[in-house]
Amino acid sequence: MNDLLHPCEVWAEPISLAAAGCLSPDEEAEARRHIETCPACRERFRQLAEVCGALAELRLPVGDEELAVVRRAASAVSSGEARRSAVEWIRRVLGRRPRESHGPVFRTQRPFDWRWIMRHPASFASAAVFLFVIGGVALWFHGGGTTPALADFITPILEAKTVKFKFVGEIDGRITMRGVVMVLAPSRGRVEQEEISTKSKSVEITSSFGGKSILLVPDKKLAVVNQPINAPRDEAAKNFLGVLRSYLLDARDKADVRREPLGEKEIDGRRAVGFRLSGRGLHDPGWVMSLWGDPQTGEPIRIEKTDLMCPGKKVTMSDFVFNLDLDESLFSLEVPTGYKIVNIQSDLSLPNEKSLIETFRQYGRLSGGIFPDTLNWHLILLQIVNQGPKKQAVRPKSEERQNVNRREMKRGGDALETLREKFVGELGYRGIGFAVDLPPEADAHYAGKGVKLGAADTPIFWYRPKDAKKYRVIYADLSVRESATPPHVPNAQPVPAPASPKI
Amino acid sequence: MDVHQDDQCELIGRAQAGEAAAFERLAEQHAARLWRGALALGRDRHWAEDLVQETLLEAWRSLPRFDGRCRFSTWLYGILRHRFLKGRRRHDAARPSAAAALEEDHLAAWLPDRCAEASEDARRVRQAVASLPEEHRLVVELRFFAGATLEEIAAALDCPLGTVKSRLHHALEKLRQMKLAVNLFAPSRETRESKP
Repeated sequence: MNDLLHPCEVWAEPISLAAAGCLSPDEEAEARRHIETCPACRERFRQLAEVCGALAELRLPVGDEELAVVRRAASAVSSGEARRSAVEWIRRVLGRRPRESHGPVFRTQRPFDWRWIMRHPASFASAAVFLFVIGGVALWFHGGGTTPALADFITPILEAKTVKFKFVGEIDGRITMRGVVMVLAPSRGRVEQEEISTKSKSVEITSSFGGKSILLVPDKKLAVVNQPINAPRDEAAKNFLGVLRSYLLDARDKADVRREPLGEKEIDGRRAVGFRLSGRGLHDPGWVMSLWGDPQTGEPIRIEKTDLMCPGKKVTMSDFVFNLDLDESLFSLEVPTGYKIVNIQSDLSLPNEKSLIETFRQYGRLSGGIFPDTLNWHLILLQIVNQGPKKQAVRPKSEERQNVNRREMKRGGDALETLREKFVGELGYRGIGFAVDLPPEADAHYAGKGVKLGAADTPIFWYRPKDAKKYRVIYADLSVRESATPPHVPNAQPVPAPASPKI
Repeated sequence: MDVHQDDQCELIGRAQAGEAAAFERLAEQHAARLWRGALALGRDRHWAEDLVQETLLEAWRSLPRFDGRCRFSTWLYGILRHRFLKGRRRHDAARPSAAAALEEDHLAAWLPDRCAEASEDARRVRQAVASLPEEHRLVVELRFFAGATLEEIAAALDCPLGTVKSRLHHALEKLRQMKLAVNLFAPSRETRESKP
């Protein structure tokens, strides 16, 4: 039998390659001539063709999302810098301390610090700054409306051609940033800001939400040009006046906006009346705001705002001036000559359940396979940025091994740092944003504290989508199943966590 | 994706002259192949993104040295392989715990969304491929999952074309034997139904 099979062994490889579609037409024709004359090879070819058919069905899908990755990379590369290089360069020129060149436990190093986070173009996009603070202005006019009529406040804000005010950013009571916001109706904005710890100054100018923006760092002659993708199609959301109207309408019409009087106090020598508002905004997962204003004029004196996603972070706005003269050149999106340009694209699409799963997955990679203790973005950032993962890499034993390991760790640190940057800049924020943006009727809960990534049949998050009868339950292996009832997990945390504002 | 050779030659020439738009167009033409190759090698979505980025960066810098002796896609796969090998050990070392966690079901981690929807047959096929020796597995994944040509695989794995053919043959033969042993690759429903 071996004698009979032996001649066919010559054809074994060509037949395999023919089944795999890897032969030239001539080579395949030759192989097929043999196949037609040899029953054993014909059967083998048939079986191989089935194998190859099954394999071909598993071709990796490439969708718009994947193609966008390549486009972005190509664009970043050809515009002078790869994205990671650009981000590293941004950090470097902004004065970040150089990372240690070696060290076996790179995962506990501090790849970022808060000033970098606050500076990160994607995590602290210019549009978000405007929405954050301007939302406060708009809501002031509703909140203050409990004294004068609401219409008295709507009219001036809608008719205002320009707005200017100061702001101070705090994290856990520590002032991190301060600056001035200017808005030229309907949609152009400018933020002049200073980072307190480094005294680094920068200017962000934006054309509209979802539109092009630039971040200028005059000291370093650096310009980060952001051309966002997947911006909302709602035209109202693309200009600041539209956003203001949305906030006003939400505050007027939505029953879930809570208003509590805070009484009176003196601010900067002026008598002020205060209110605490809480609710949800057009692009805001949930907020708590203290408003203090002049009851005589209806104008705001001070607005303090936190959001549910990052409870430790607070912005205080003051010194409001309306309808002042602002030169149009202040809002120019042209990069001044002599600036180094770095192009980026931030994703502004609305996050969904997949975003949250991706956040869990990537957090697990960064943390050593565990879930965050809570879905508080601030605390998650603290853990990722300051503390590193709970598990540490094993230290090498021998001197030689240690040197090799250090080099590898350094390179590994680069890869992990890239992931951290992505997590901080977009991946993490989007997923947590989806979770905390769920309405109360979704009955969302989180139970991932102490759970290991991959643990089967351990529910970590569940919620009921709008108009759905069943719950969507995400398990620790990141699978999703539906359930008529919510899982019973002691100490599961409601999401978003009940607000406990300290402002 | 079929790429018109003349168009591609012109684009390469313009990109070599430093025209960014031409390079972006080239990348666009090879985006699907590059992404699949990166994912097949990296087996991790985010590493694949890094590989794509690093490959394009190196391609942009090295483009003046591209002499057209091989297809552009083959050249690109060569760079991809270089980046893959360079980052491989550090990538694995960078996430010891997470890697272990993900390794338990690396296929799910590889294609999280689609994997959940995949049929049981597809899962078994993936597992069969994963059980192959690495040199065989990579050839199969690049050929079938990434859609690479034999020349591109040779560039990606930095081995002679004959070696790629031999590995592919042996890999397919092993998978065929698995199929015979446990009926791993069930015929498609249409095939089953057409049989008496």
